[in-house]
Amino acid sequence: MLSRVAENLFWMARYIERADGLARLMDQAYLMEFDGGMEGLNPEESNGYGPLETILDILACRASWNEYSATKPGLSAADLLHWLAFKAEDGHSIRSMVTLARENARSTQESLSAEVWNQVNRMHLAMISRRARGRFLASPTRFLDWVKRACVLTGGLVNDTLPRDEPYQFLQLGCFLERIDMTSRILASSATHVLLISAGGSSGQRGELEEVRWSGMLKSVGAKDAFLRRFRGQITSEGSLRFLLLEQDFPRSLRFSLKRCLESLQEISGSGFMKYISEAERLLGRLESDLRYLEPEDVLDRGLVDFLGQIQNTCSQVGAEIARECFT
Amino acid sequence: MLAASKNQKRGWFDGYQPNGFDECQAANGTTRPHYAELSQNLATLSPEDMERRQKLADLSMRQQGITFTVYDRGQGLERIMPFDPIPRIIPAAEWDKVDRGLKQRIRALNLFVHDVYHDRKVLTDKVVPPELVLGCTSYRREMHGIQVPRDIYIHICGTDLIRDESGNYLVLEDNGRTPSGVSYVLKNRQVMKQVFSPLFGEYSIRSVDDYPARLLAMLRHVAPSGGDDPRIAVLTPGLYNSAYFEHSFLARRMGVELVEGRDLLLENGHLHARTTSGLKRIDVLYRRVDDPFLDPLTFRPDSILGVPGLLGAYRSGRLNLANGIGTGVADDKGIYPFVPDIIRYYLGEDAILENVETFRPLVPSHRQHILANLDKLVVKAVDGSGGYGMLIGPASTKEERDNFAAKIAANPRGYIAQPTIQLSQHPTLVDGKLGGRHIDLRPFVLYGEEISVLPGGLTRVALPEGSLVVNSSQGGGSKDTWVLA
Repeated sequence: MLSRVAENLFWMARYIERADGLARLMDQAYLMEFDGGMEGLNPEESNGYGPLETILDILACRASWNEYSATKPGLSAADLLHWLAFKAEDGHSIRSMVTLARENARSTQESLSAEVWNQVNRMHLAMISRRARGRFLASPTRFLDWVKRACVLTGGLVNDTLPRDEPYQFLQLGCFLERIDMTSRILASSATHVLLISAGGSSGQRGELEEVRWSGMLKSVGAKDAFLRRFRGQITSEGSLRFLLLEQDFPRSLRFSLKRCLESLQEISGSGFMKYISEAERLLGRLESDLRYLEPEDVLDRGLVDFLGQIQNTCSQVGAEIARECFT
Repeated sequence: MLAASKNQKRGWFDGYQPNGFDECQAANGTTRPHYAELSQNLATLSPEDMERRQKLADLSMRQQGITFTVYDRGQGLERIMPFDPIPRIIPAAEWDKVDRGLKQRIRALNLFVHDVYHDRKVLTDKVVPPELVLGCTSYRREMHGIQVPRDIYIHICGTDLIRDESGNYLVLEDNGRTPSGVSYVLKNRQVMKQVFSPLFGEYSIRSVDDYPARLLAMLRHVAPSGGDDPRIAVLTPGLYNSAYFEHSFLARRMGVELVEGRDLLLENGHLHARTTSGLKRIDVLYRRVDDPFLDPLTFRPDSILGVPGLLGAYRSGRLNLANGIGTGVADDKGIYPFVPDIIRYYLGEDAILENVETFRPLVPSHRQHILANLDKLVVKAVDGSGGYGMLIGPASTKEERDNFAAKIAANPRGYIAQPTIQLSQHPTLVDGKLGGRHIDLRPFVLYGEEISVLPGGLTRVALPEGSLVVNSSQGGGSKDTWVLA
């Protein structure tokens, strides 16, 4: 397939996955805003909107929010939510992500099935319509739920209407690489907050906040139900880490996503491309085997935040390798 | 029969005025036989029904991304072409003549292009003035003496037809470069079936759905010799071209790659695409990029849409292009008046489809006639297209006419003039009622192993009342076109 098309498909899938991830994060953070005790973890920085604000760090767009909010004093958490849904540019709002996904899809329509293209196009048209804003204002949760459904439907159509050839593998690669990136950022953000929690307060309060934090985090990646069934007990840092880092059968865990990335890379190189993407494969393979033999305690000993930083580093290296070898 | 037809006029056709040649009604207001069932079927739908369905049709087009891009103040806006649900119906016998006429025309025009780039007999025999051909802006001297596969230059032709006041089909212009609009023919039919199924009734309508398959078969047939499994691709100027949807649609329906200039390069004299598994050779390009932009080494050096060196691969027979380079000499407005002579010269036949009467300012008697009758004529710039650079006499101001008179005097070769043909009119849904609106027809002809004409074609409709301009860039819409089996 054409290099340009491969690149467009890769990015289309990444933006859809990112929009899905952001919608889940926003939904969860929005609900957590109603709980007490979440603000004031770091009074200098938090400006009073706790959980939602952490999204700015996850998406690395705090600077553009500061720039925006500086011009409009007195913005509330609801305004931040709105900004993340519609306003933020450069792929930092849901709308902007969907538009970018659609632009990438539009220039590769012929490699997708008509159904996939129609779905992405419909999502874009709905996002830019006036009705989207009305829906959001009426109930952010319902709006975000609609976004999740639209993204999941896209993935479903990809799975059900595309043959397992190169276009499909590049879509998978984009989707799962994005998921690794996003999940590791979310974990890093939660870990930072949990560390802050454990630095102060009574132990009872700590336990409660820790549970609320991790529970929110699990929810924000759609993992809470599966987690509870698997562990049947209290939500702890160790259990949450084990589940989202090391669980091999849960589709949103890092280990699962890594495996899928590797599989797609191998499918692509199986079509006669081995020597070119071996570096991306090597990087991912090394990380995968790390995760296979690690215990959560090891990760905590090593320093969770550093460890997650390394994962993000690997992701960006892999992205660069794929771009260098397949897209040019 | 006639009485029955008159009865059905109640409802949708209340107050409908046939004007000039009306496709649906004779001058005395009776429904033509092939429209009788349609008007019955229409009677089963209320205006609210129609409005709801029309909204669904628009929504469906928009969701599928069947849009074209219009540029306004530097901003590209995606628009859908307005779709009118009242189908145009063409009886089999009427279509038969059109079909034969189009085949005759594409055959003759191909012989003409071949001759122009080889022996030039048509010029030495004084059938067409040499200065018109060699001075034509789309004449390509690079093509002289070049052999193209199967001697076919115009593989795809979109010939614009109109009907005069007696209903004769006349050729308004030939589009032998990169004609567009065929995707609308297929999509209009699809949307009609999905949303306006009650209108189909008992009609037996010829299918249009095999066009992409025929196009692909044609492209394979004209591949350079030697390859048994030629690789085909569609070349598009890119996402921001107004016909991008069509390029993408045709590539998908043929199952071939859609490429842009930046995806391609020349290696060992062959054209290749950059793919994830290295370079892949391409044998035939269905190119939707105009001649001047194809190869910056030969044509416009500032073009970023083309591929440096592409012309070399084409000239040496390692690559074929559809349409060929230099076919613009055949559909040039300056050559148009000579097409009936061209048909007679190569085929020894009279033209089955007539031209619109055309005056050329180069001929002194014509020039006098033109200047004396500017208020009645349509004057067209030979190099203009899409309704630009045109004077419509009856709708013009004195100032505009004086302006054109000066232009014609200064550059008589640059213009042609034709009487204002009213175009036929067709019932069209406007504000919940039927009104007569002017239409034309662009059928699509493919020239491969055999010549085939897509039954029907794109019927474009000028939506403002009385307007004669059907171009989508200037407010035209389109309808489904039914050729009866």
